[in-house]
Amino acid sequence: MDSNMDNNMENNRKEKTVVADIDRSIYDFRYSEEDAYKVDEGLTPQIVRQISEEKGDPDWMRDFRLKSLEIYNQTEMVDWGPEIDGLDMDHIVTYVRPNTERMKTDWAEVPEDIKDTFERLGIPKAERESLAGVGAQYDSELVYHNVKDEVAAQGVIYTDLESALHSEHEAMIRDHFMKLVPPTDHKFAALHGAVWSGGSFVYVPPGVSVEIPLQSYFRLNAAGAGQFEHTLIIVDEGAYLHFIEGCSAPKYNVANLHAGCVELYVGKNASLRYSTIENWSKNMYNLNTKRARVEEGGKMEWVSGSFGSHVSYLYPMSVLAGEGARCEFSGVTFAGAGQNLDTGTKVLHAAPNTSSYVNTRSISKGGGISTFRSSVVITEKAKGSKSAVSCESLMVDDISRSDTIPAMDVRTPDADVGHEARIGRISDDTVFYLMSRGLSEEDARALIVSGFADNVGKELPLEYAVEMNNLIRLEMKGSIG
Amino acid sequence: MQKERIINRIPSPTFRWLKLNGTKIRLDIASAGSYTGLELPSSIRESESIGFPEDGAFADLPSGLGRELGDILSVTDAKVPIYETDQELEDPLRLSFHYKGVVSEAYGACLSVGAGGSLVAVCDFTSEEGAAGSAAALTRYRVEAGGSLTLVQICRLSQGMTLLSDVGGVCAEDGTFRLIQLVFGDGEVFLGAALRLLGKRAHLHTDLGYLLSGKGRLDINYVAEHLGKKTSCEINASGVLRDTASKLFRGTIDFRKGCAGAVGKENEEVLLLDEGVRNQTIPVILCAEEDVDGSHGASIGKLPEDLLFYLSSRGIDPAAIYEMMAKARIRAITNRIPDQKARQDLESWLGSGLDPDEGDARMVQV
Repeated sequence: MDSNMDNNMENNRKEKTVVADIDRSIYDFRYSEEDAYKVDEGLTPQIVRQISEEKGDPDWMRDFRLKSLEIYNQTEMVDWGPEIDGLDMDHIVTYVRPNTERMKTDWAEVPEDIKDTFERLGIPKAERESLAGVGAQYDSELVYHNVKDEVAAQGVIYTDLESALHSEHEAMIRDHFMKLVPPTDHKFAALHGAVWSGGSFVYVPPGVSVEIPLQSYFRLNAAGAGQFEHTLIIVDEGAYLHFIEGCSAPKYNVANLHAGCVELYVGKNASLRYSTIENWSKNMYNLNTKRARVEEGGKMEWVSGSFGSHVSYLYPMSVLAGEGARCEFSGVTFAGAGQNLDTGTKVLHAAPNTSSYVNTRSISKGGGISTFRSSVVITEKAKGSKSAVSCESLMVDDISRSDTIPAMDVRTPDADVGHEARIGRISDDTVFYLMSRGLSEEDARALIVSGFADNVGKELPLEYAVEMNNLIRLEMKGSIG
Repeated sequence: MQKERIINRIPSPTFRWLKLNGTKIRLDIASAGSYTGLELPSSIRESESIGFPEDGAFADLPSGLGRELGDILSVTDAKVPIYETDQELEDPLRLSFHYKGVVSEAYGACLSVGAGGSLVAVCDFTSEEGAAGSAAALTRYRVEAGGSLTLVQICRLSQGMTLLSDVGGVCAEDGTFRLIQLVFGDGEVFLGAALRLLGKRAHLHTDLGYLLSGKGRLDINYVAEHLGKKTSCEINASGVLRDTASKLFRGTIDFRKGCAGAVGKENEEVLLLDEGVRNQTIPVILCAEEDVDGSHGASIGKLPEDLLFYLSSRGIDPAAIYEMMAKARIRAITNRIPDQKARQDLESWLGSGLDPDEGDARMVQV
């Protein structure tokens, strides 16, 4: 064999490995829409009533939806952040029920096309190998939900929110639903209140530690549709939970909308880790709202990877309501061509001796725009509180954009607030060093970016860290020249 | 007639509920103001315009408070002096404003430093106890290739007085603009500064120091625009809040496309002494260029515990430590005033001696 042939084979092997690792088709496939039911495009009281009837809402929930619609109509669009002119609510379908009668607890009973979707995304495999329970939402409805017997035996409730609403848990739902994120919070919170559908409900009883994570996966298959799932998690006193959220959609030429809502209640001395790898398609407007309330001695950890969507507004918020409550936020955002991702976090210190730590990375490439936006508010009551915010941004080329907009409001002298930020480029010296060790320039740059995002990668379970690194390699493909 | 305006708008707004995107004020400016003291360097050139010039070198310069505020000068038919030099002037230009009684006036000035020239301008704003009302001081500047301009503004205002100071201008290639602003007392002060680094290697350095007490209020909007290659800026803010004083600092470093090799640094330290104070900070970096190095840092609240421990172990009680550190932060800024007379006056007012030569020595190091 001559040396040219050796080189060709080596190149083929290498290229094949790269392609296999980063095959985007695992997210970008789609099935024809054989929906059982969907409402008309647009947003009217009639459509909201239709959704409510379809779901068999109790009266209070129907009234709540209609009131939220009123608030939506009265609320102005935000006048900061990325443009969302391409989102026309008159052409968004707010409810799409897939072709399955009701949620299943056995994969074998899920319709073939939907089952195949989640098989290709690796959800059943993950459930078998590394999860305590799984929920799978397809368009507007949960199609599968299951929790391991031993976890259920601990008293853990993990079900879809609508089943919980029609069960003995209704009072608990009513006490907590959209209390942390009221419809008056902003226009898309009001929209969510009007047309929400699907999502998960988790309750972890006092003192129970759920050793392996629960996961919900949200898949939007229908073109021009919106997904409005609501996740409500209550971790009671002294309990622990790790919850993982995943989301993806195939790409269409029309705008899709995701306006979900996540409300997390972390009890006294309880601990909750909420991890997200978000990979919506690049026609998606991701206007999601996430908020946690943390009681005395409780701990909230956010781990957030934002890779997809055309436009994102995403700022998970922690309300540190009890003395000694803590939160940590680790985030990475990768904005590629055609993306404008406005992400960050908000922390409200409302009790003494609370602490927060924020550590984020942003990467911009191929004309993408990434913005880190945050707020830390330390109220008069939060004496002895501490906050540290660190954000770093990486510009991969000269056609992209990266902005950093952190805000701090400190209202007590007995506080310690620190902030640091840095923006820069990939060091030529580092690329040169890696190339001298045999890496191509493209691989060297991908490796540097993966390392840059390690603040999130190291916080994720191994399988998800691998997925995140694959996404980075996919985005870095073709970054040279 | 009072007119409601939004001033100090941040270039890139954020969450509305934080109320940081701009400041709404009702402003009553009825007449053209004038300085109460003027000392001119011997060879400086002086001319005059009614309002800011609408064409020529001083037209279309940026503004930190907001360009619409410039119309105050036109409305009041204010005569705006234009001070120009292309020499290295040793003596500073000194302007003083002492407000008393009912105040409702606006003053404007233009400063121009030609190629290779240098100028130090010192503006001192004071008020008598019982003075009340609003005053505006609007400054436009140009620094040509290799020139250097240092603008020092010292504000010592009593409760009831509101001062708006707006600074806007450009630096050409290798030009340097240095801005030193010091704010004391319990009046209301709004500072806006829009500083455009147009030419290659143009440099900006700002030092803001403040010691606010009573119901004192300070509202700041600094914007450093990097347009030229290898431009650099350093924005420092350091201060102390007592009683129920409040401060809002907006600092933006804006790396525009094409400013390859630019470096921007921003640093803020705030010491909070009493219950009732409020500090708001929003340090922003906007970046549309790959080859830049931008950073900002902020430290807000109490003194570091290791520093307190060290000084306490030397027998100093905590109250004295805080007094000492508050004074040290202000002195670090006053030491940078390149005008010995202004520095001595200020130190005398602050009630502590300072070696007058120390400041010059430190200026060399900066």
